Amino acid sequence: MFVWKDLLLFWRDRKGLVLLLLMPFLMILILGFAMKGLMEGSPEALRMKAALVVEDDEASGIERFRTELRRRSLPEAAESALAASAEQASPYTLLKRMMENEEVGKFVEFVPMDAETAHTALESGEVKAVLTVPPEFTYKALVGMLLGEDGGAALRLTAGESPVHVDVLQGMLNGFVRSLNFRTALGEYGRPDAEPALAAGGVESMTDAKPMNSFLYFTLAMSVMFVLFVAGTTAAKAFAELRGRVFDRVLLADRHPLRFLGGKAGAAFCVAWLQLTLLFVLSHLAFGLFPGRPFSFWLGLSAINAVLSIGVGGFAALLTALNFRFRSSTASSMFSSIAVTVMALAGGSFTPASLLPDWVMQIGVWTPNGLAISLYTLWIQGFAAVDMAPSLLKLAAFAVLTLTAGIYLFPARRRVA
Amino acid sequence: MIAVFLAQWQKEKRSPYAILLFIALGIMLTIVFGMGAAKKMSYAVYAGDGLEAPQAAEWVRLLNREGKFEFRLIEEERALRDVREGRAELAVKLMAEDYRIVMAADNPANREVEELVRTVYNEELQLRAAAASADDPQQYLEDVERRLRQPPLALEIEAADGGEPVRNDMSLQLLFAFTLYTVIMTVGYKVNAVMEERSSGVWDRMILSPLRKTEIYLGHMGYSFCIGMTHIAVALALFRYVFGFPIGDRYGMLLVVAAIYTIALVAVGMLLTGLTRTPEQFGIVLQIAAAAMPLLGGAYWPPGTVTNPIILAVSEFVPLTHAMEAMKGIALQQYGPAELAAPLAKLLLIAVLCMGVGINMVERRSH
Repeated sequence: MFVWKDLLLFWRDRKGLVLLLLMPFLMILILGFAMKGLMEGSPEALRMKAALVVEDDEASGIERFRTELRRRSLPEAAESALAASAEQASPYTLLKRMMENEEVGKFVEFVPMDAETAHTALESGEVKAVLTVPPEFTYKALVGMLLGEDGGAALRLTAGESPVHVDVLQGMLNGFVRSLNFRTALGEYGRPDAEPALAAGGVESMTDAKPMNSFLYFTLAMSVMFVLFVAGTTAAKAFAELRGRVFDRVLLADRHPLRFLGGKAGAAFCVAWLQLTLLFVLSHLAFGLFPGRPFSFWLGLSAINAVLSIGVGGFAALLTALNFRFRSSTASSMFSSIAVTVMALAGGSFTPASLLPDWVMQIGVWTPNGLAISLYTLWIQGFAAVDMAPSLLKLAAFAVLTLTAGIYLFPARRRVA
Repeated sequence: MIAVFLAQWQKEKRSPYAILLFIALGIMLTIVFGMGAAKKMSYAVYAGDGLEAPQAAEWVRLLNREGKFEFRLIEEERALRDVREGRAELAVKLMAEDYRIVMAADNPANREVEELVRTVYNEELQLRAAAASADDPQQYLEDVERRLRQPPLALEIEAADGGEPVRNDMSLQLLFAFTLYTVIMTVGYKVNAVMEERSSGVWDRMILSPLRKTEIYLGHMGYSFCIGMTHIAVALALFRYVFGFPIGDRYGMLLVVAAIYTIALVAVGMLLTGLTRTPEQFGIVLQIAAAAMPLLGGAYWPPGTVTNPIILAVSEFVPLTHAMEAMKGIALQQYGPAELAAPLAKLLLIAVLCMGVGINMVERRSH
């Protein structure tokens, strides 16, 4: 049995085998922890302190605005209405209300500081950004909001070194500024008005599944990526056998060369299946990925592993054939370096596929690892087999295609070099 | 030394296709994804509950006017299937005066899209309501339009030194990341020649020749270095002069970083040569290790994404991290020699350590 010989070859190179089996687990561990907070969008991960530097005095700003109103000698009623709005719509008060909002408080803690301390804190990374309310802020903003005159005021955000955090804060402040400007444009701050009906909006989940946590995501992503290396590895080992004249001896023993190729595909299938299964079990034990799932769930998972592994076997056959045909291991090197990177990226192993540009995603739909990720995703969310059929068929077609190509390209007769 | 170098060059000239293909594919990959990353995120929307096509198109126009994401109107069935199979994070169901965000599983990362859609819907609905109750709706809409053009409040953003904030250019980052990643393969592929010569017996014959050990090593390493440098130099030149990526005007500085990075890679290659036994094994270990490097260094995500101290500590040992920092600094932040000293020194340290340990292990194995 050639498969047995090839499995023994894997076993003899235990260093490589361990690398192949455990490197992805290490990556899952590392990346899972690294991206945990971000992928789950939990406020803890993005939680930050921001310095608040107030260089404006709100009360005197409002007072100055009132004086300005009196100077303009507006009609009595209009003047008192505007003066009252100034009190209610004072932008600094609105800003404070926003900062005290519970949702905002989950992400940002604003710490009042003077300009000097804030700068030092920003340098040392203690705060991620500094929000400055500049002098005359209240007065200028009120003139713009209530009298509709040019000018206006600006809040100043001094950004630190972490774009991820600054983006969150900037998003919040932009939202605040935008809403205030929009309400000004509607003319709401001049007249008390009833709130108009708003869109109910809302979120519909297609299943009651929990969002994928980072460990689950990276278990899928890294498993389907590293399983591809099995194909390249198998083909590289096959080339070593060509170099070591093992293949010649196989031919001299009057064995059909395709049996050699079959052994390679079979061994790649076994190692790939083993690798996938091991990774799922290890990750489940370490991170509790699939709590309380019935045996049938694991059976299904195992079946998807098998289909993907057949695909890997097909790749192994194709790469072995190419290595033999060109009498160099360039094909398998090229596959393991460039092709795996492209497939991993397009199939969504580095970032979730949905974050990729559209056309990359369209390529990803046709990569074996991309197909496998969507199969696992469907299965984990509990969709029926009908929904999975198209991807399953594509993956199977992939395996058949690579196997056929491998058999076709494999040099059936050894040319004399 | 020169002889060993020239021998490698002769081998290359005899069959140059492998390395050319390697470099060409590496650069192509980089350009394709570097350009792709510049694009906006795109989300699918579909018309639900009998919403007429023109109305749906109007909502799509309003959503796209924001310029933050790209919203595409597609059929309901396809939109839902993409979400179900994990190819799309979400889809937006448009209704006459309402919307729903449809997602496979409740995922907080989609907050930004929800936020945007809600803002757009609410503003439009408020505007419509206010206009309807106004005495002269046409005039009112014009007034609002005019007032929106001179907003009373603004948000200014500046960097800590008071200048323009440094924008992290994700497409540029990926450009560097892929270049630095693919060159690992190129250099490793060449360093592997040492292993190949050992397994084919050429190495033994060279030891018997009058060549000194140092010369053999230097010849091999010098050659790998030159090929690696050629890869980076061609890649950077193409990005800058042909594809017009804004990698700055300090091409020379970038080359200095590239040179030191390549030296570090050659050293890492020597370490792997010491750790493995056959050229095939070397290739496998190299590919797996190289695939992990950009992930560990956080090269594919915006800076600040990785905050875990352990991973940050591990990434210090990855040459790619430091080369990336230096190159981004040069291209985006006007790094001078003072700022470059730290990452370059770390690269050299990695180089010295790996080279020392690696050659030692290779030598020990031969006895």
